[in-house]
This record gives sequence, C-alpha cells and structure tokens, in this order.
Amino acid sequence: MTAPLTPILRDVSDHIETARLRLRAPRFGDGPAVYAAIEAARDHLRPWMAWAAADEPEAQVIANTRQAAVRFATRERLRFLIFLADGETLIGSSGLKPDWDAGSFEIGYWVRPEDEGQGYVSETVRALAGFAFTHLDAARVEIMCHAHNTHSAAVAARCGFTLECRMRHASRDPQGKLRDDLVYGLLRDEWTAQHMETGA
Amino acid sequence: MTTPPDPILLDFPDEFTTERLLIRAPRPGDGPTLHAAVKESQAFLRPWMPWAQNLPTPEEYEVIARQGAARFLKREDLWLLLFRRQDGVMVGGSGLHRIDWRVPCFEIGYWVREPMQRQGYISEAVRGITSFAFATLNAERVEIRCDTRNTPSANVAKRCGYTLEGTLRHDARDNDGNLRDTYIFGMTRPEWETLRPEWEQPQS
Repeated sequence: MTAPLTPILRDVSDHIETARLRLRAPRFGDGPAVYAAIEAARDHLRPWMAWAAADEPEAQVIANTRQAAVRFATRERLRFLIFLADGETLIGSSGLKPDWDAGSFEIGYWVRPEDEGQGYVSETVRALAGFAFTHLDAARVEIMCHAHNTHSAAVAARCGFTLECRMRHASRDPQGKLRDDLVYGLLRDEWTAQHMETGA
Repeated sequence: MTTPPDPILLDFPDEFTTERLLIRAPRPGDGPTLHAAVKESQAFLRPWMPWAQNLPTPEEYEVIARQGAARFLKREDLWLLLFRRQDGVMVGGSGLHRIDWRVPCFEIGYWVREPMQRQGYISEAVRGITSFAFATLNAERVEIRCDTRNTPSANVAKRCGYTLEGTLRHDARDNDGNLRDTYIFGMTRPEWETLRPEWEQPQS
C-alpha cells in the first residue's frame, strides 16, 4: 500500500454540480443565508438534529459556518451547502464526515420543509456518494439516522444503501425518550454496479 | 428532560472487584507494567489492536497511563486495567469508551495478555464492567465492537449475553491495508436486568 496522503494535502473540489443543484463548500459571508435557511427549517429539524434542538443566535450560526469553511480547508469535515441551480437560493446543507484512514465517509443532510418531496435530498446523497467514490478513494459511504426518522431512512434506501445495523437505545429524542439509531452502508462495488445500471 | 450536568461532576469509584479481578483506572506508575505486558503479547495483539503496532517505551507508556488517569478524572474516557487479585499480576486492559453521557451509553473494549487467555478473565471483566456501567453509571446501552474475524473477541460478547445488532461492512482497514467488517453487539438496560441475578450468584 502506498503511504496515505495527509488529509490537508488532498485536492478536493469545493463544488459539485448535479442536474438541479449546486453543492458548494461554505465560505465566509454565507452565514446569514445559512441562518435564514435554518430558521425556516428549525421546527422541522428539532426532533432529529441535536444541533437544531435549541434556538441559537445568528452570530453563532455565522461563526459555525465560518468554522465549517475552515474544517473544509483542513479536510476534517466536508460540508456542502445545497443551492438550487441558480447558485443563490440556499435550500439546505449536507456534507461528508471523513475517516480518511479507512476510506469511510458519513453523509449528513437536511433541507427546508418547503423544498422536501422533490427528490433534492436523494439527488444530493447520490452526488456526494459518487463524489466520495470517484474523487476521495472511498471504500464505504454511510448514513446514520434515528429509527423513527422515516423520511431520512427512505432516502438511504432509495439511494441504494443497505441497512446494516439497528443500534438499540443509542440516543434520546428531545423529550428524553430512548430511541434506536440505524446505520446504512454503501460499498464501492455496490455503487459501481448501480452506477452502470443507471448509466448516470 | 433535565440538562445533564458537566460529566466532571459525576461521582463514581475508580476501582472495583469481581471474583478474581481488581479492575481500576490507570495511575502514575503503571507505565512500566503496561509496557512489559504489551511487549510480551505484542505479536498476539497486533492483528487486532491498532495501538499494538508500535511498542511505546516504558517512559512513553508512563505518559499514556497518566493521560489515561486524567481522562478518567475528566470522565471523557474510562480506561480500566485488570489485575489478578490473588497476586496483583496485570491480566490485560479494558474500559468504557465512546461515551455519550446524554443517554448514557458506552463501548467496552478489552485485551488480554497471551499467557492469561482462555481462563475466562475477560468474560469476568466484561460482566463486571457491564454491571458497573448499568448499576453505577446509569447506562441505558453498552456496546461491544470487534473485527468480524476476531472470533475470540466475538465469543466474549456472545458469552456475556450481548446481542449481535449488525455488521458494518468495509468500515475499517487492517494493518495490511485490507478492508474489513465490524460487528456491533449491544445490551440494553432491560436485558442486563434479566441477566443480573444469574451474574450475581456466588460462583461454586
């Protein structure tokens, strides 16, 4: 095996184009638009995303968005904001959480409720998985979600991921009730086979 | 739900015993003992333990032991060493890792010195640490992860009553760079409560 690259030396494109979307790494200046999108989605995200459970001031979101730009530069985390094809309308956020040594990447995502039901999330997940396998030497891509988040689980299934594990009582909902978490995985060979099939 | 306190405010003992073992947090002075134990078993541990690839010096192990003691105090990671009560000999290592105090849930890890294997020490330690997690730390879930090829390790989990919940495929690489799979075993509080009476019966 050749010596692995130090993550910060990896060349990673800061944007990905899909049929209807433009995924782009956060930049300084994006904070207010991210805050507006989170506020539009917050009540919808509260049950599922620990970071969305409590209200946060705009300054905190702006700082977090800048930190995401920094972590993208260091390759610690690859956040991609989701824009419509105009490149200006911010509808949500997604990203890859890398384990560079293993070649394993966890995909996360959310969109504003008004943009749900149009396949934007599946389009994002397919694009990020393809990006990880094609450009980042991924061996595996995974999605974790809470067991009763049926929307999120449906996205994973629709994108060809396999349910690998149900971790019982692994987290709590905002009311403190214990819940199960699901782990979905997609391997390089599986992705290649699907990719050939769809001819995408 | 009440906001959980900063974990550093949690009070719990840093040592406890099982029938044959003293299980305790690392302390200053443990470095040379750890070094000797790992050195002796390095070839045995190397296929499974990323930390056994390169052997730290006794001084480096002393740093590792003191950092482990500090992380225990901070309640970030509860590394535990296993000693035979009868003669004080180190048997291996274990601990509660990947802690989420909000649940609370923990992952148990373990290794045994090669000459000490096959004597049930690790199963005894895992039962003791599992009960420590549920009874003392109010765990709701305890997890064991292992390489799917590490049969002795998977057998410990099964023998201790853990349920195989799933297999993560190609989620890690072995020392030769080959992709490998990981078993996830879990135990919930109701399951532990069922097992507890059996575990607490005095050994004949």
